[in-house]
Amino acid sequence: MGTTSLWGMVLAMGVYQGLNPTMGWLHGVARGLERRSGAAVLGATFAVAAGHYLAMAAVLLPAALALALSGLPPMAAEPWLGGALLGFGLFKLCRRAHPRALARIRPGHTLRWSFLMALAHCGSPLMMLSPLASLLVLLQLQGRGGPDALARAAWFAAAALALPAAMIAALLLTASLAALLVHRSLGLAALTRFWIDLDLGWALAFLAMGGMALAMGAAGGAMPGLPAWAMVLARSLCRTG
Amino acid sequence: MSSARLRPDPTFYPSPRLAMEAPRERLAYVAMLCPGRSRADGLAVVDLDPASPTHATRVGGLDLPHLGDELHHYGWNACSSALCPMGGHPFTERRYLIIPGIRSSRLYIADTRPDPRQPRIVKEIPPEELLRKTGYSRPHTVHCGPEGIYVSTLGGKGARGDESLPGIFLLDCDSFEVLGQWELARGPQTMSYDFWWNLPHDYMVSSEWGLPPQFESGLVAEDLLANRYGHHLHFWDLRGRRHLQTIDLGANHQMALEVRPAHDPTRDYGFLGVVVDTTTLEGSLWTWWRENGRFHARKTATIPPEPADPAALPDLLKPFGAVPPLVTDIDLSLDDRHLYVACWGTGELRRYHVSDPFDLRLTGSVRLGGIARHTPHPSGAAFHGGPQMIEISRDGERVYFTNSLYSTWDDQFYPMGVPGQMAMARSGAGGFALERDFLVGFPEGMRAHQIRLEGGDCSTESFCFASA
Repeated sequence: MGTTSLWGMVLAMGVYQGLNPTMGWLHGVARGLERRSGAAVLGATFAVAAGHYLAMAAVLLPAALALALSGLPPMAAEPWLGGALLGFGLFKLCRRAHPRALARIRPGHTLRWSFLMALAHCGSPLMMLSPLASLLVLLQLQGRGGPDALARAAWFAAAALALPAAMIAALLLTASLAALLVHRSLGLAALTRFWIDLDLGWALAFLAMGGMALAMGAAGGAMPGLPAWAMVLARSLCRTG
Repeated sequence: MSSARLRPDPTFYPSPRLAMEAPRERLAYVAMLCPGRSRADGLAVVDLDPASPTHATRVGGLDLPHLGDELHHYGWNACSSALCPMGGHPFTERRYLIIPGIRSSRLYIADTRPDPRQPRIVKEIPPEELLRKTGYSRPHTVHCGPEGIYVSTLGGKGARGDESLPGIFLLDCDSFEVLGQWELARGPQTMSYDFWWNLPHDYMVSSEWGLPPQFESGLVAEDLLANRYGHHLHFWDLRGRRHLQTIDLGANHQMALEVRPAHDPTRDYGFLGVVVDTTTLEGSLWTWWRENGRFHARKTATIPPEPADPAALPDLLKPFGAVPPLVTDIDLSLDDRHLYVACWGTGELRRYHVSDPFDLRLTGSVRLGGIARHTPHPSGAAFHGGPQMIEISRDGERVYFTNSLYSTWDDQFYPMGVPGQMAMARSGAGGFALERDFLVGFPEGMRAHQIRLEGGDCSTESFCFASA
């Protein structure tokens, strides 16, 4: 995957999630109506996006550092990622409700809720690992992940923070526009008119991304039996989740 | 079990105003109970579509498989609260009725699809399972909220249901599995009845009727005169599942029943009906509110008893020579403007204007039935019992009600019997009056209790978005 298409894909994911009401604009509209203020609309939307970013950074940064310091080739992670992505995608298809534990979080604790929701339900941190691996390979091809482990770690860490930042920038822009549009002009009726199940498409995106990662893994030396492993993972998650 | 959609259910309304503007109700579900146990309880489905040739008649129903459940209150599996930002299940459907048997402690889940006139039972939760998983019995109010379906109960363990404390339990909103007790810390709460909440402000309110030995075999006069029925309001941390505060209304204010929070979530207040003041026989309405994190409550209206010839009164009331109004149900319109109050004893349905929750103004009254008055229906038919369970149409223009309170109490206050009936009053700027052409009867031996409207109603819907 080239640099442009990689960033393009990440931005597209941000726009897609930004359109998803539960990823920000619904909170913005609710808070705006409660406080009767446009600033509150943007504040709550921002809090959801910030929690989402932190969740991604919390996963991507350690992963990138581990790859940098171990010196393992990033492509080696792809087959495992492929399996995990397929497993999570199947899990999302069979369990579409949020985990019940999220319902215990107070309505005001938007950032905390969003952080945990991204990890447990949305899965963006997992979703972004595969593009991250691709980006790290690109960095190495450009000679930026040289033999010096510390220099490599700095570059990889920057990539691990920049990739979700791009995704969240697109998400925040989209969600803020949607929130303001609904709050200012379209009205609450738009909420049910335009709300479609974007989670379903997101689950399918997991399957596509998983397939892609597996294909890339296969190109770089395949690991047999991974799809089966993904099925086992999905089935056990569906049963216990 | 719940099937999912790709769009939100059209009967989930983001705000109270949008719920009022939605298409009107076409069907009502009415809980029917058969105290004689000659047949099983069930639901009746009543046609509410004025353009239909079968308007105001029963057009379907559901017979339960067991005898003696005593249907009372019940509710939908999902409502407008599913749209809340942190709701987590926006694509569930308003489709299943969660139907507790208050006497049997059995729970039924009935599916209103594919034919809304012929609901089918898809799951039964036996009393033993409920008791084992929650320690509770005598299930009552049903609401759909953040953690699933919440059901209040009136009893605990033991044959009489008073060997442990009653409370609220949770049902999974997809599988309808019993999840367990809701409370993590119940504080001083020992009795239970109704509950509701403010979702964005994260608190719950609950009320008290009495323990099962105080109601199952009939009203216990000694307990009432000794002020031993419930007279507290409890406030809870909703997500924290912890008791926050109790307000004692005063022991003479016996039986604090229905709690009706304002539907607009920016309004931090609600109402409560108290059945009887043992010092005056008055019924009373209370306003509770939250201010600076603390809860308060104040009596904001009283309804006087009506003198009557003792010879015409049931034994229970003969010594008083008067009929207490017996405020047994209240219901608040979706715009939080009108509070309807059932005076089951005197046979009156009152309408209060409550835009200012501290200045309740009586703006209408209809008379029907009553212990001493026996006011007939405008159609000329006799009306048994008095106005009791109220349900208001979403647009606020029609107020439906039934006439039975609770099997054994019906027999004490209306010894001549309370055959099931459902009537309707029209409410508008022009006034508040009974509809002559709306009087629904029920099969022989069946009484009628709570009404649920297809597509949601005023005592079901909770919202996370203000109407503004």
